Amino acid sequence: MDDLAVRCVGIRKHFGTLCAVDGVSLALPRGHILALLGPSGCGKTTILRLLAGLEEPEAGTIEIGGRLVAGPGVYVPPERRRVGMVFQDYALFPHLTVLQNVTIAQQKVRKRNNDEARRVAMSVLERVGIPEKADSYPRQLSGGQQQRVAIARALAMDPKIMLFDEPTSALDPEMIKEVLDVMLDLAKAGMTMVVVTHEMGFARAAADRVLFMDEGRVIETAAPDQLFNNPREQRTKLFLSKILTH
Amino acid sequence: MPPGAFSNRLPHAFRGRTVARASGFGGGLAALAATVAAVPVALLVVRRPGRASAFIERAAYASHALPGIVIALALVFFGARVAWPLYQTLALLVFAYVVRFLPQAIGPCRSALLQVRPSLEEAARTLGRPRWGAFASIALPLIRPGLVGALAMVFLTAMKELPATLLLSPPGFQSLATHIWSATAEGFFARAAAPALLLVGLSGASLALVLRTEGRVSGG
Repeated sequence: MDDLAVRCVGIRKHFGTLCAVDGVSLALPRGHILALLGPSGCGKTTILRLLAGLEEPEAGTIEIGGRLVAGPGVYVPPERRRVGMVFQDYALFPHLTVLQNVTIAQQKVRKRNNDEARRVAMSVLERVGIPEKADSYPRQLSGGQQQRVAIARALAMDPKIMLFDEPTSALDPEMIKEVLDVMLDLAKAGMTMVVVTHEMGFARAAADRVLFMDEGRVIETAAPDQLFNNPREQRTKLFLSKILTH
Repeated sequence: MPPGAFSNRLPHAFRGRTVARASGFGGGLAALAATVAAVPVALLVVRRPGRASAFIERAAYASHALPGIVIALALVFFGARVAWPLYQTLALLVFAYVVRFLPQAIGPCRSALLQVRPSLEEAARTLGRPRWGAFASIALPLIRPGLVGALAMVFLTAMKELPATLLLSPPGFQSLATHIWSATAEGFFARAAAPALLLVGLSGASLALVLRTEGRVSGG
């Protein structure tokens, strides 16, 4: 049995007449980081949502940790995939404190008691560098802090892989670094991650592979150095020339 | 609900109660039923916009546009000919209220749901909560002001409703509105004064609640 955390084969997804993902295949070994790049609307977020189980593919198969979670006649819902997802808009529960945001799923899903859930929560909040915000409400935090809470909340559930959907795109420039630092720490700790990002610096520094998409298809997959320094495809060169020159 | 509330005769517990309490009970049941019915409609409209959801929403509004007397007469016919065990029961009266006032409950529920980003429930699902668990633990607390607004709005309107209540009430059931109407029809204006004042007071309190929750729903 291979040691793949994620394997997708020929996945396809339409929204009405729009083909968002068209026959995408990818494989990600455990502990590796895959960065998804591409222009807006190219299907990157849909790939993440398919991996998380928030969308169901029309064709193809998805395996997570060697287990088939989507395919012909098979659909495992998100709540049974043990995949952590960090959203662009943080998606923190506004009526709960930071601590409650991180403990609620532990208590209701993992059935951890209050003390255990709190201990795990404080441990992950320390890991993302904001234990002192445990009793604050999300509205009292900066964007960067909110995103770090979202990461902590996902980590508290011991996910097999972490999915990041443009986690820094809604942040002020000076807050981007604090989130990327947390993600780099996770990468160093061996967490398997799929990251949709426009942060080329992060993709170059942290990713093991970079996948470039356009119009729902994979255009090119390569190691970061190769893709950024010597892309094979013309479409990749065009995209990078626009991104890297601004 | 008192035992026998759906029978042809008013339940024992009901007989000794005042008109105000009977009226409040009927209005409360109507508010609860309409709000419970409004949540799935609002969910469908907000989360699954399309032809089917638009049709369901418009159908609810179409029933609101019909005169109360038309709905009441239709339900009298329906109760007498088709669903005779329901004829002249509180259940049929509450159903009439729901048909008439469902849009008033849909509005606040929809406004509240529009402010709950779908990503919140999606995040809850990736954290291990099933679809309805995610809705119950995350969305429901957030739309509570909208639910309270819907309850108050339907309660307020059902308390004042006259034609359907006159035609569909169980025997012996009198709401504040029908009590005022029958007292004034017989010329007992003094007898109508206290219930009328109570109705104005209850309406004012419900309206205050609606306005307060409206402010919360709109983030004011």
